[in-house]
Amino acid sequence: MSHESERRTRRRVTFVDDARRRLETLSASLLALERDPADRAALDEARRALHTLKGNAGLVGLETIAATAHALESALADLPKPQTLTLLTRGLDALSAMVAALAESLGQPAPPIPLVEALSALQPGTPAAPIPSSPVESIPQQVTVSVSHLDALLELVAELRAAQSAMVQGPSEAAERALPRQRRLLRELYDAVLATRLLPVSQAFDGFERLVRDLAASTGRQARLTIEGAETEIDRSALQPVRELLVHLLRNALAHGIELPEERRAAGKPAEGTIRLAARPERDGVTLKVADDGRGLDRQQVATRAVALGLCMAEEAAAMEDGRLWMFLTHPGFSARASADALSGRGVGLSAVRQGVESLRGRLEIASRPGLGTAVRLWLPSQMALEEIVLVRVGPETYAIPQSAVERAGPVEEAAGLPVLDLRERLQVPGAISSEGVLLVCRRHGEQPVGLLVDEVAGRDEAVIQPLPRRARRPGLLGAIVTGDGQVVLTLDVEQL
Amino acid sequence: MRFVVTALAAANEVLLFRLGVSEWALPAQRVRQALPPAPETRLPGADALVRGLVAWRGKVLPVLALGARLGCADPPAGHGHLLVIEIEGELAALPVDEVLRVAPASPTADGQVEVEGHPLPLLDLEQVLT
Repeated sequence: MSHESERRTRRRVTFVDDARRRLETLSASLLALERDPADRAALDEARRALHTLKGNAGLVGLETIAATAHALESALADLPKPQTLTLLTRGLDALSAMVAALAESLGQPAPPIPLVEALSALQPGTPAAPIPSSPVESIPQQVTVSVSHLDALLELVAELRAAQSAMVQGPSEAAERALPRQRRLLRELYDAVLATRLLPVSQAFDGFERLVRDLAASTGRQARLTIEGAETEIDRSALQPVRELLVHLLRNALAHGIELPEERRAAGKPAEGTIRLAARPERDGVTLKVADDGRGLDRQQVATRAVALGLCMAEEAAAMEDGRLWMFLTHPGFSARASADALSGRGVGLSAVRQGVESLRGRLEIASRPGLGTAVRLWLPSQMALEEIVLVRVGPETYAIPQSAVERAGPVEEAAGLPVLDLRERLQVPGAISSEGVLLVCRRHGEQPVGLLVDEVAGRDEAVIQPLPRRARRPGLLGAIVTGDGQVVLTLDVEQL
Repeated sequence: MRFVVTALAAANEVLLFRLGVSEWALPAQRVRQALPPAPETRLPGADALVRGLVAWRGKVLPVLALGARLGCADPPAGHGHLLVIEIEGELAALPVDEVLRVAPASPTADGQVEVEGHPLPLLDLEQVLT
């Protein structure tokens, strides 16, 4: 980068930092004016914030931001009327979006501005500011590692060197034992280094309690948030996506779950609703649950809407078990409420959550009891963890299946009543499975096992299953691995094939 | 293929490449790296744009059929050189027949660029690939 463009970038980074503070101030002032339209002090504060923002934007050549700030400043010539306040909120959203986009293009984290979110939530029909692209006060770009952890890493490396020496000495018994030992040690080393990237998930929960209280209050409800398992650790790269997912879920719980205090009292519940956020480590990942004690989901409503959208037939919907029926809520364009109220007007709902979870190679489950509440549970695998995989050959192509999904492999004849999927057909590989094809019996979550028909089992390996680039995502594909010789091997999602 | 370095390209430089019978220019700063032909993994499911996947520095990149969008033939998988670019916040690989060189360019009146005296079409990635 030339000197000039470096300087420009630096100036813009400074601008972004300052702009965020101005937008926070502006947001707080607008909130104050919302509550008390005669608050002159808030008016002055808002004008000052916009004026500074306008000036700074002009200095770094950001004409659109400057012009928008100018327009908003003019609208605040005097105490704003309600309609003006709505416009101002939209303007604030637009400014935040522009600053966030600029921040991203500069490679800077753009933390969310909670007050902006809260204010936007107050205005029905306000176009949504994009859910902020970064979470949390900046995630530190350095890790702190205990000395004992470093010592353990050194020991592993020392053992690896010893194993390598044994191999270098030439073929011998010791050399033969060294290879699997080296494999195991490399795996341990990888896991140990990966562990230094973990951070408590509480870092993604910043400001949630207040968010819940404020959002509830803005629609005349009462709700509090309880948090469990905040010390559960996740990879730092998952903090941001997890935060975004949880904000969605909290919004949903407040919009669709928690009832108005009168309704709750009439149902014998305390006027204040409770939303529980619980995180728990699992063997190979973490689960995060958002549960409310609200009105629960309405089977009839969901089924009707699903049928209306052509997602299934009426008879199927009637017979479907709850868990599967609720999954229709994650369908894009599905909205359980006919009318949009202040919080649910966004219409984004669970579809975005599902996509977000899938991009982390996770899973989503919904449970609900009428009158008692709804719970959404997310399972997220450990990011960048080495997983055991089975390589299979389908025609001339190689695919991978997570070992954890495979129960056993055997000849085709052992299909015995299981549903069988011919992978040549499913993956559109020309030709037919050879007569010496192999059947892989794979377990499916909450369902009957399925038999996958392949030409041959090509081996096993350990690899990190990477999520696929957005444009390449397809149902049935879990992700991809990169093999030692630089080839991409697609990993199949047994659940969705 | 001559080793073409785009990492230090200046704002006015373009990368020249050949696709089919035509020569094209692309702002050099948009290209992270130009790669020799690499094995491509087919992506099941018909998609006019994403024809496969390729590995680069341990990452999985979609291979986007640029030629199809420009109305000419794409080099077959494993044959063309690949341009690693970033688009819409993600990395992607574009197969081209031949990577030529990096050269300074100046814009012409009709949206093309002039390189060493001749006009060449300038590829607008966002317009073509989104």
